[in-house]
Amino acid sequence: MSNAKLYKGSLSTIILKLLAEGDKMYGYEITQKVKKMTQGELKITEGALYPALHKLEADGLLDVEVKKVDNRLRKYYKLTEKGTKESINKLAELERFIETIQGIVNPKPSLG
Amino acid sequence: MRTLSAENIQFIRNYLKNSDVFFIDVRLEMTDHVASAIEEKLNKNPDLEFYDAFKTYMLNHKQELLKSTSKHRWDLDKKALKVVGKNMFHPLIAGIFLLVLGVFYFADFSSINVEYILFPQALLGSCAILPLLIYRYLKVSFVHHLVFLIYMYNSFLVHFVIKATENNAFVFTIIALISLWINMSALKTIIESFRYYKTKFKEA
Repeated sequence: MSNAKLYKGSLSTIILKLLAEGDKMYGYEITQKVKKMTQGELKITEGALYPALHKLEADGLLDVEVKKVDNRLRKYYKLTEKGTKESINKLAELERFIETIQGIVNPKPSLG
Repeated sequence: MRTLSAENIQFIRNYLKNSDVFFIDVRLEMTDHVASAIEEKLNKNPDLEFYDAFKTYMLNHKQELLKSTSKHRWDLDKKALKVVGKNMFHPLIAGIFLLVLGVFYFADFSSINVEYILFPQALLGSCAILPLLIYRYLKVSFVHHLVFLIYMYNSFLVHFVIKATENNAFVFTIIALISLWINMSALKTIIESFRYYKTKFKEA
């Protein structure tokens, strides 16, 4: 993952956003979706993804469902009611952060 | 679309088990992750064999994969502790606690023998280890951590708190009773978790 440290703080928000768009997703599916959406720019590693998912689960933002798929068990994650509300807050927070950084990187010329 | 056979899946499970991924809840998720990645490789390249795809995947991802499994999962432990808290108010657990509390309410605290309270407390503390022995083939990360935490809690209680308060029968009894309550709830959580994993995740 390039610029891994820059993305690290946004991982939970990214997960919440993806789950808010879809119904339920499993770990590998999340990594592939992010890879596809960012044209391979952002690759979420196993070492970052699963601890983040477990933290969201422990915080009550995600619910877990286990299903048998293709000879194995698969753990699906979906948003809880609290998670749905939190995803909206987190996204707004991330947007504000991006705007702030944008203001630093590309400052608008002042009129005065 | 190519999917992995039951033998292929078993191969991945055994590989992870031999790579010290002992806990069933961790292995379940890792097995699916590895299997999904290999299936994707096989579908992109139909001439590729399972073992070659597996070898390539592991060469590139083993370190990261095992890093994620070896991380202490405090977040899941936190979730288990929340369940212990919730189970304290389960009618059976809360009922037993209130009954014992009622008995002690009418007792003369100065006449209470320390051993009478410590005995059920120690017995319950030891009981937390029993499910580990009964379900020894079923290793669930957060349940093992919960047993360890309860053991540490009981040791701390017996060695420090109860010894420090044994001259004050009232404080001593209250602490011992609350601990009895916590232990009962922890035991219920441990047994329930093992039963759940036994029925749902045995094959992981």
